[in-house]
Parts: sequence; C-alpha cells; structure tokens
Amino acid sequence: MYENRRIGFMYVLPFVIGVVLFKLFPFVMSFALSFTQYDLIEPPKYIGVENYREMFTTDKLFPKSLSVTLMFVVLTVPLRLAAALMVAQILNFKLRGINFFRSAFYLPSILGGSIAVSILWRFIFSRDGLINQIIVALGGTPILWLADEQYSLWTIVLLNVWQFGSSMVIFLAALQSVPQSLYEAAAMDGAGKGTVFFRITVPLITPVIFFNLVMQTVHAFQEFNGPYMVTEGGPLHSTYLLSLYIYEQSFKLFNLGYGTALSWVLFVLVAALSAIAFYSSKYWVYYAGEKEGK
Amino acid sequence: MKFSVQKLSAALVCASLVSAGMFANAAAQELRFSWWGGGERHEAMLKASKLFEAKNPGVKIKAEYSGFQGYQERLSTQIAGRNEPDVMQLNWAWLSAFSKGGDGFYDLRKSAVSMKLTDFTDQDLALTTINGKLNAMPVGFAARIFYWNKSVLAIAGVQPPKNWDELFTAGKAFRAKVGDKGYLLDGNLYDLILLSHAYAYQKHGTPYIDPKTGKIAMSAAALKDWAAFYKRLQDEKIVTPLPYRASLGGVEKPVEQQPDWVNGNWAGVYTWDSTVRLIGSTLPSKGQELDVGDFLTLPGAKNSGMFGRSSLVYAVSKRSKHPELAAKFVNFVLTDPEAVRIIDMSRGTPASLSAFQQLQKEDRLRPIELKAYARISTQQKAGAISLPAAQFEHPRVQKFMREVFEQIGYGKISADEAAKQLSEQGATILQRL
Repeated sequence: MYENRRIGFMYVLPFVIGVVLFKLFPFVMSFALSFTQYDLIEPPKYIGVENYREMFTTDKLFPKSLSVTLMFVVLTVPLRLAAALMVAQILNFKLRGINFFRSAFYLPSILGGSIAVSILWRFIFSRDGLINQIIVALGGTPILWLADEQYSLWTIVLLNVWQFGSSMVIFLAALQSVPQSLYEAAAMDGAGKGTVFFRITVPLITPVIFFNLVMQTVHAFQEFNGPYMVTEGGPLHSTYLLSLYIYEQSFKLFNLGYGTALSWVLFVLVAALSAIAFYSSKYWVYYAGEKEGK
Repeated sequence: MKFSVQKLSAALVCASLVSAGMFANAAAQELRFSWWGGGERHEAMLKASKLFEAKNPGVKIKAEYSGFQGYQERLSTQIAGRNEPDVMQLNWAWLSAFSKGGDGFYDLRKSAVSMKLTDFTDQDLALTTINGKLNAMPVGFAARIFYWNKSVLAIAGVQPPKNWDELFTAGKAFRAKVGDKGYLLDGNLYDLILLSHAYAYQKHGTPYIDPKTGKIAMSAAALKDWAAFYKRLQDEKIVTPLPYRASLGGVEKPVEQQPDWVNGNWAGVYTWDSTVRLIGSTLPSKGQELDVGDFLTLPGAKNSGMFGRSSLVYAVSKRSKHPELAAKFVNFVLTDPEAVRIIDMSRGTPASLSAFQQLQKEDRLRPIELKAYARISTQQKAGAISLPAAQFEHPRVQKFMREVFEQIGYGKISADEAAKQLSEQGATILQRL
C-alpha cells in the first residue's frame, strides 16, 4: 500500500512541481510585487498600497480601460455564445458533408489570434475595405471602423465572436446528448420549433451554457491578441483592454509593480463575477436527475 | 553483484559528467547576439556572424532575431531575469531606461584596445555614453528629414517648400490640384509630433526636455506653439489627418504600404533619413523620383530643431562571460571591411567613418542617400542639431506625448489644454523616471 502511494506520488510529482514553479510561485510573487515599485532593472522597492491608491484615485487611464474591458465582455460573451449555439444547432442536423462544415466553423478558433488574420481584419475594416464596400453597395455611408472611437471596439468584438469554435463544439456535444424521445413527445403534442428549442433544448443544456458562460467570460477578460494586433488599443484608448494596459505597464513602460497591481484587480474582478455566476446558477441551471427544490 | 553494478553505474555517470564538463570547457565560446529587423538585415547579420566565426575559431555566435514588435518587451524580461544576450541591438531611446546611471551595460571603454573608437565622432559616442561609461556603440546616426516625390509635385505644379510658410501654401495648392485624397505630406503620429517640435524649438530656442537637467525646458508659450502648430497642420489638411490615417489601417501603418503614396496622392513624407530605400520601394519604377527636401527653418533660428540621434546601438551585457570577445564582435560588425560589405546598408548609413567611406568608395550608397547624409552632416557640423534628452524617448514620456497629440488630432482638446498637459503631467512623469 505504502509502495503504491510512493509510486503514485512520483507520478504526480512533475505536475506538482510544474504547478508550484510556474503557477503558484508567480501567483504569490505577483501579489508581493504589486506592493512595490519595480522597473525590471533595479531591485523592487516596497511602497505599500501606493499602486492601488494611484489606480483608484489619480490614474485616469484605469477607469477608461476598465470600462472598455467591461463593455467588451458584455458585448462579446452573449454574442459569442449565441453564435456558437446557433451554429451548433444547425450542425446538429444530419446533412451530407456535415463533418466538413463542423471543421470549417472551428477553423477561425485556430486562426483567430494569428498575425495574418489581424492584417486581414485591418484590411477588411479599413476605409475602403470589404465591410465598407458592402455598406456602400447597400446604400449606406462608410464607417471609419479603425479610426472612430464609437465603432473601433466592434472590430475586436467581431474578431472575438468569429472565434466561436470551441464553444460550438461543446454545445454540439450537449445537443447530441438531448434524448430524442423528448423531441418526439413534443412533436406528438404539436409543439413548434421555437417551443421545442426554448422549452426542451435550452433547459437540458443549461449546465453546458453555464460552463461556456463562465469560460468565455474569463477568456474575454483576458483578451489580448485582438486589440494588440488590430487596433493597438486605439483610437483614444477606445479598445484599450485591461490586459493591454497590464502588458504595456509591465513590459513596455518599465512599471512591473503597477502592472501586477492591475492584474490583481483584474483577477479579483473575474473571481467576483465567476462567484456571482456560480451563485446564480442554482436558479437557472438544471442538472439531470435533479429534483425541483434541491 | 547488484552492489557492484550500482557502483559501476555511478562511476560511469560521474565519468560522463566530468568528461562532458571538460568538453564543455574546451568547446566553443558562445556569444548570444540579438537584433530586430527585416529579411535583408537578418540575412546580412547571419552572414557576418558566420564570417566572425570563421575568423575566430572556437567562437560560436548564437543569433536571436525577430521583427521590431515585441522585441523591447522580450529584452526587458530577459534583462529582468538576468538572461539577456551577450550582444544586443538596442534602440537608443531605451538606454535611459535600461541603464539609468550608466551601469546597466558593460562599459565598452574597458575594451578600448579591441575597439576602433577613433572611427566614430565624439558626438556619436557622447550619445551612448552615460556618466562617463560607454554603454553602447552607435551603428548609425539618423535624423527626421523631408523626402518629396518630385514627379508628383511636378504634375501638380507645386514646388517643394523651402520654409514653413511655403509648406502651408504648397499644401493647399497640392490639395486643390489633386482633390480630397491629396495630402502634401505624410508622417505617422510621432513624425508629426517631431515636426511640430522642430518648429517650436526654432521659434523659442529650447527643446521640450532639457538634456542636462531632464526637466521640461519649454515655456508655456513654446508648448502652446508646439501644440498649435500640430493642430494647424491637421486642420488645414497639410498632412494626412490622424483619424484619416487611422482609418486606412492604423496610425502606424508605414507610408510605403499606403496605396495613396504609391498612387501619388501623397507627395512627401517626414521620416527617418535611413528609410529612403523602403519608402521608395513601392513607388512605380517609371516616372517617380524621390528627392531630399530642405529642412524648413525660421529666419534667425539658433537651432534647426532637427531631431537626430543614433539610429541603432549595440550594447554588451554586463553579465556576459566573454565581454572582451563581445566587444571584439561589436567592433567587427561595425568596422571590419568584409563585414561592412556584407551588411551593406541594411542598418542604414553607418556611423563608422571607415565603413561609410568604404561603402561610398564601393558605390553602395545611392545618390539620394548621400544627399540626405550631406544635409544632416551640414547641420551637425554647424552645431544646429543638439543632443536630444534621453528622457524624451523614454517609453513613458513617449506614451504620454502620443496621448496628448492624439487628443489634439481628434479635436478632443485645444492647444491651450494640450500645453497645460504637456507642462503639468509631463513634469510629473519626468520626476518619476
């Protein structure tokens, strides 16, 4: 028995070492560094809660970046989940060549963060780009997507929504696990497609919706590639997400102490929102075999 | 038996470790060398590194190269982790951040015997010297100048401007001729900040930041003129307005990638002199000719206000195990005739006198490059280009200035408000550096 425990421990040791060295240690260190002034070159200097005080009192960019980030999350997560669920629903039909379409719709998730796609995105959203050509062809006025602070956030929102592949695959698996007998019973009762979807499909996949909601919210708060490569945070900081602000402060502006303080605020925010989501889940997420009131 | 096998195994392991250590000692001395650039520079630097290896048996150069984006961030983390390369290509602007007191890098004067320091002007070496320590070697001197597309100007019937007033009259005339897409001058946000700075510097005789004290030197009136001039350039559509440029694919999109430049809707650009090959590379080969413009100067100005500094520098890590060898390598890529021939103009016009003369003799410099060099040298020799303050290009100051001028470009703040920000917030930032 003891021998087995030892062997078991040896097996998990690489993972434990990895977590301690590359997750736990940086996690604790970043918290410690958030109370310092650290420019990467000179040793960190302890300054107490000065970084946090500055963030919430004198730093004008922090509230701006925070509001942009919240707006990004509010726009991205529902749109991405809706797109993923809609496409998953379509791809759940038994059609010829369906596997090709499933792969094709997953492709943007692999390509979305690449440099090539960011160049493509700049190109299609530029003044004379594809999107504006379509708008003009439909009789509209061109929009300065990359230059107008009212619209610039949409360019990275759409880039993010476009990468709905991973959520779609999870939704697809969930949709396939809904018992056919329920649909057959509903059809016999004369239920329409909308009723079937909202009364049978959605309630039965709420655990997966909840999972995707939490995961996508966390990912959206950490979004970096889109604004970094497409808009560089501009114009006028209209796409300056917190992740970009943290990165710039830490590695570009030689202000790692402040950068880590910002990342801890982001961590607390994401943790709080996740906790709220978990708390609210008991009111709207239904697990198989669960009885009402439990 | 079991015991002896274990002993034998242990002995073998020890023997292999010892021999590995011995071989490691006898193996090549390795120098890590990092730089950023494009394909041409990568190819040239790799070839030059191989040549150094061939001339120095037992030395291995490990190249670490990439594009510009993300280079500084990667280097920052390497330096913080005490794992930086032995030889690093740096932007001159980063020296003030990486080596505040001059102790951030190996003092190359310690290896003066291996270096051909006489090949560089005192002014060039002063730019990379901090508190008496030679932190880096200048690769080239570059300045912001005007390049005009002579052919496009001729078609529009507009003469290249020779003073500030002519810049505005020519801008209006060009636009009247070419139409809504026509702009006399292009430049990214920082180019145009510097152009406006040159005007205010000429008018008031002081730069934004005093190089000696590191504090704001411009008066309130000068700051207002700086901001107002930038605003006027935008408002009167003499330059490509910031929102318009952003809408074409980003404010930092290089001019050579702009269809309006290629198609002749834009007549000129205010940029680094060293970029001439790049900006000319996308112009149609027939009927398009670039020329160096006059540096616009106010009558009676004591200083040209021209922004010039080392374009690139090579620094040696203070933690390098082979600083002497690293210094020798730096000297090699800057001054060795064979290396200079290989590297050619992939790093811009060289600061090394012998390298410059060699390239000139071997007909590697194009007439326009020589003209630009001569124009900058004339200003330098006349003492009309002052050393910029190191803080001026510190990343935090850069970010701050860009934010202020972006707000002007988008019409969010007036010149008065911008001047106030440049004075008050600028002072706070400088105090913290």
